This record gives sequence, structure tokens and C-alpha cells, in this order.
Amino acid sequence: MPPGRTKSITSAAYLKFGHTHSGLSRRLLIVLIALVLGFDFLCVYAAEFMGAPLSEGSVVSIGIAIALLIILFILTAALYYVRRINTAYLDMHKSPDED
Amino acid sequence: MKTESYRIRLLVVPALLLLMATTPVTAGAGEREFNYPAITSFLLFIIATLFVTAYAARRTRSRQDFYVAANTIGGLQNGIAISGDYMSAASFLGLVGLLFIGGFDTIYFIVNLILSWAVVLMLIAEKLRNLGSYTFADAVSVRLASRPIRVLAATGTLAVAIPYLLAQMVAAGTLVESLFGLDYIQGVLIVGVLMTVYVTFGGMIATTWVQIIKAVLLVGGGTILAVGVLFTFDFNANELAGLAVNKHPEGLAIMQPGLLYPDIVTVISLSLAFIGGTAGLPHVMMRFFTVPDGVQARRSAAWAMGIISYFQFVVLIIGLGAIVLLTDNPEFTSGGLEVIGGSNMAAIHLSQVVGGNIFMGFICAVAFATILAVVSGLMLSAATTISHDLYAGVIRKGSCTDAEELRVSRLTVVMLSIVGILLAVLFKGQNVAVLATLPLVIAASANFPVLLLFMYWRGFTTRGALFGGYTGLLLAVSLIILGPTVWVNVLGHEEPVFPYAYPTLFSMGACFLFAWFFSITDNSPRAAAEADAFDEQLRRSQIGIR
Repeated sequence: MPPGRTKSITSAAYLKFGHTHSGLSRRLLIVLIALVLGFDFLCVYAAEFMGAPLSEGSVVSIGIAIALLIILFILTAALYYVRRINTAYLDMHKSPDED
Repeated sequence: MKTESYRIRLLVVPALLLLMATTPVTAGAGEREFNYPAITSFLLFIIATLFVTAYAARRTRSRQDFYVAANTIGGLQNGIAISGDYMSAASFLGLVGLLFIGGFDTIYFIVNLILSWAVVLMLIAEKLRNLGSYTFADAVSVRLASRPIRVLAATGTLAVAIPYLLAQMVAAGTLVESLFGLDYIQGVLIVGVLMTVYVTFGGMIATTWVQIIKAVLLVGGGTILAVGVLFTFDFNANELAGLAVNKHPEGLAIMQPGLLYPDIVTVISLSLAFIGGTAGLPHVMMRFFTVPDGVQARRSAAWAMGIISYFQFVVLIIGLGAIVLLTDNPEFTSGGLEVIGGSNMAAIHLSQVVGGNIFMGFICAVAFATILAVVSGLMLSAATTISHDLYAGVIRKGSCTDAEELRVSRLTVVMLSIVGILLAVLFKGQNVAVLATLPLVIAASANFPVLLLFMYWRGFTTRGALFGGYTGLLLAVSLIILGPTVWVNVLGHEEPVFPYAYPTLFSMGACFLFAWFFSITDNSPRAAAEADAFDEQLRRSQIGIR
């Protein structure tokens, strides 16, 4: 590897970064995929519940409301992930060798 | 310098060809009407993109420029380009049409599509950027045996790109016929020639800009259409939904699951096709090589995800609007759900209702521009895998020069375009819906598992990759052929041999299973060396190769 900014960072710092990073992405993704597959099962096996109107007189069903919540959750999780990891990465490059 | 100005002047030839192709052919046009607003908007798009291509051609000198724009694309820029690459005509016209017919079940597509981008963002984007240079085979051959892996990756890439490309070109021909009042062949030629021009002259730089322009047009046009729909209902979304339920022949059932996909295997397979499919699409993967580092790779995935998600909501509103404004309107539907010109036309008809002929012309042009941007990305990824993986990596064993490889790549683009045009003419009038299902399922069943296991599992070996990858690929293709989409709809048999439209549960499952089994039983010295190389790969995947 040619010398450059990457070389000044200790492998321990990278190891730590990589560890947090993959841990976070795996945990988040397991939750997200479980949510969506759970939604799939509910739609097939609890179709009546999912199709019931959200409230008296409303045409929007419970299933649609749940889907919208899941979508919002996925987007929030993604935003949190990018912020968190990119900040950690850039911080690590700012202060190498310090811990 | 000399060759450069020569090349720029060469641009004039396709421009003239196009002019001829779009000139109304009075003899063949028959009773069709020319849609002048559409043709004008589309010509403006062509002029803008050719201008960008001329600019890009001056900046495309090396192999690195041609394949990946020399890694100079920023996160936001790449995010917009990815969304332009990913949002095909199917995700606009098709999804609106599907919502029109199937109601609730369209939600599966929307939820899974957004989830699939979380997978790309969190598992694939950064590592892919850091490990590879031009193709995903570059990444996988960091640790596994280069030549067999390149053949596998090229097969996987072409198996996705060629049917996808063909589906888009057939769609372009059909669209041109019904929207512009031109001939089918003219539509296919316009797409074929323009895509060749963008890619051979401007490489990745031109492709990126075509995709950015298209994304802005598509999202902008869609937003105007959605706002127009909402305006018609005084921005009362509840009223819109209520009216949709009242108007739709299925009534309240469109708010309930089960109209399209009532069984769990299909629903789960659909989810899996998206979860793995998006990450396994070669033209999407290739876009991550255009950014300078992992931070920008994550940023681009996040931007793409945001834009694509926003567009799904736009589609949702357009779909509801289509149900309310088109059903029972004899001008656009003939009895219930039969949209005149097919369900894909729902969005186009709606634009006419909401914004009149000029706006409809604009939306037609946007739909066509959408196809162009998608085929350019596909073409570039197909040409790259042929010239970089197959020619340079396998045939020449890495001994050819950059200039030779670049020449092969450009030649491949021209030849693939000619083949694409001929096939599209041959497939005229065929049911090509299956060609749109195939890519996602193949990408999820062959490319994605190989990439994922390579990135995260130390014990993954070349033998496992080959057995898993080819099994997934063959199973995906054969189960789709035996399933309802081909066996019943295309070949006309009574009952499908394989009952499910989406076979991902089985094909992806088999790929993982075979990859696992043939890896753990691999006792060769090469397998041991591959396991040892995992630590170095992990380090590289975090800091990049350079």
C-alpha cells in the first residue's frame, strides 16, 4: 500500500471502527428484514385484520398504515446509519493515533 | 487531439440518423396522430444529452475514465444518477398500472424496494467500493480464483443485463408507437443509436449525466402530476382514497391484501427478489465504483434511497388518481379496469386528464428518456464485463494494455447495440413482461449470494462460489420458464409446471445452500489460502485498496 493518510491510522482504530460498523449494520438489517417479512406473513395469514379500516368511516386500512410506518422506520434507520458511520469514519481520520 | 475532434465530429452522424429516424414517415404512420409536444420535449432531451456527451467525450481518455468516470463522481451526484439508473419505466408506468389493477398488493413492491436500498447501503455499498475497481468480479477475485470467478460474474451480469436491455428496447418501440405516433422500428432505432452514442463516446461520464438529467425530469414530472392530482381533490388525500375505493370495481378490496398475490411463497419470494436483487444488479453495483471512497459510497446509497422512496409516494398518489379519474371514463377505459392501450398507459392518460395535451407530451418524453438512461447504464455494465472480465481477465489473462481493453469495450457496445436492435425487432409484439421479472430474480439468486458470502464469510471458497452461483442462475431461469409467466402466459399451456411467479425462495435458497455445502467440504490447499486471505480482505474493505 502506498504511503498516505490511511497509513497513519492504527490498525486498532480500524479494527474498532470496523467492529462497530459491521455490528450496527447487521443488527439494524436483521430488524428491518424481520419487520418486512413479518409484514408479509401478516398480509397473507391475517388478511382480514390487515384489510380492516383504520377507524370507523376511514377507507385506509390497518395494513396500509403499518406499511407506511415500516417505510418510515426503514428510512429513519438508514439516515441514522449513514450519519453515525460517516461521522465515526471522518473522526477517525481527523485524529489518528490518539487512542 | 486529432482523434478527439474527429470523434466529436463523428457525433454528427448519429444526430443526423436520429433526425431521419424521427422524421414522420407518412406512409407507415397510418391513422396514428403525431404527438408534437412529446416529440419536441424529447428532441430537447436529446439535444441536452448529446451536448453532455460531447463534453464527456473530451474527458474520456483512459480506461478508468470510460468505466468509472475516474472515481470523480460525488456522493449526491452519484445518488441522483443511481436513482436515474434504477427507476425504470416499469417502476413508473408499470407500478401505476399495477396499483390501478391490484391496489394493496402494490405495497409489497414499495416496501421491499425501499428495504432493498437499506441492504445496499448497509451491507454492500462501502465494501464494494473499497474492494473493486470496475466490476464486482474485481472485488470477488481479491480473494477467490480470478478466472473462474470472472466467467461466473460475467455470466451473471449478462444474464441480468441482456434480458433487461431487451425488455427496455421492446418497451421503447411500443411506447414510441402509441405515444409519438412513430413506427415501432423507429423507436427501437432511436434507443439503440442514442445508447451507443452516449456510451461509446462519453463512457461513464456521459452515462452518469444522462441518468442525472433523466432522474430530475422523472421526479419533477411525477411530482407535477401528483400535485395536479391532489389539486383536483383540494389536497384532501383522504377524499382521494375514499373516491378510489368507491370508483374501483373491487371496492374496499383494493385497501386489503390478496388481490394479486394471495400465497405466502410468492409474497416471501417477492421480498427476497428485492432484498437481494437490487444489490445484485450489475449496473447498480457499477455505479458504486464511480465515487472516490466509502464515505461517498454510503452517501450515494442514502441519496438514492431517499429519492427512490420519495418517488414511490408520488407513484402512490398518481395510482390513486388514475383509479378515480380514469375508471368509468370511456375515453380512457373500456369497461371497468381495461385501460385503453394497456395498464402501462394509466399514468399517461392521467397526465392528459390533469394537464392537457402539452403536459401529456412532456410525460411521454420523460417516459422515453427514462428508458434511455436505464439502457445506457445496462449497456455500459454489459460492455465492461465483456471487455474487462472476459477479454482482459480471462482470454488475455491480464496481459492486454489499457488502450486495447478500451477499444474492445467500445466495439462491444456497438455490437451489443446491433444485436439488441435486431432482437427487439424480432420480439416485436411478444409478451416481454417476463424479461422484466428475470433480472431481479437472477440478480438475487446468483450475484447477490456470491457477493454477500464473499464479503462476510471467511470459509467461502471458489468452489462454493461456482457451484452456488451457477445453481442459483440455472434454477432462477428454469423455474421462471416453468412458472406461470412463461409456461402459461407466453407458451400458452393450461397449467404451470412450477406454480409460483417468483421462484426466489427456491433459487436463492439453493444458491446459498450449495455455496455453503461446497465451501465447507472444500479441503483443497487453495481453499485454505482463501480463508487465510480473509483478514487482508477485511482490512481492505474498510480502508480501500489505494
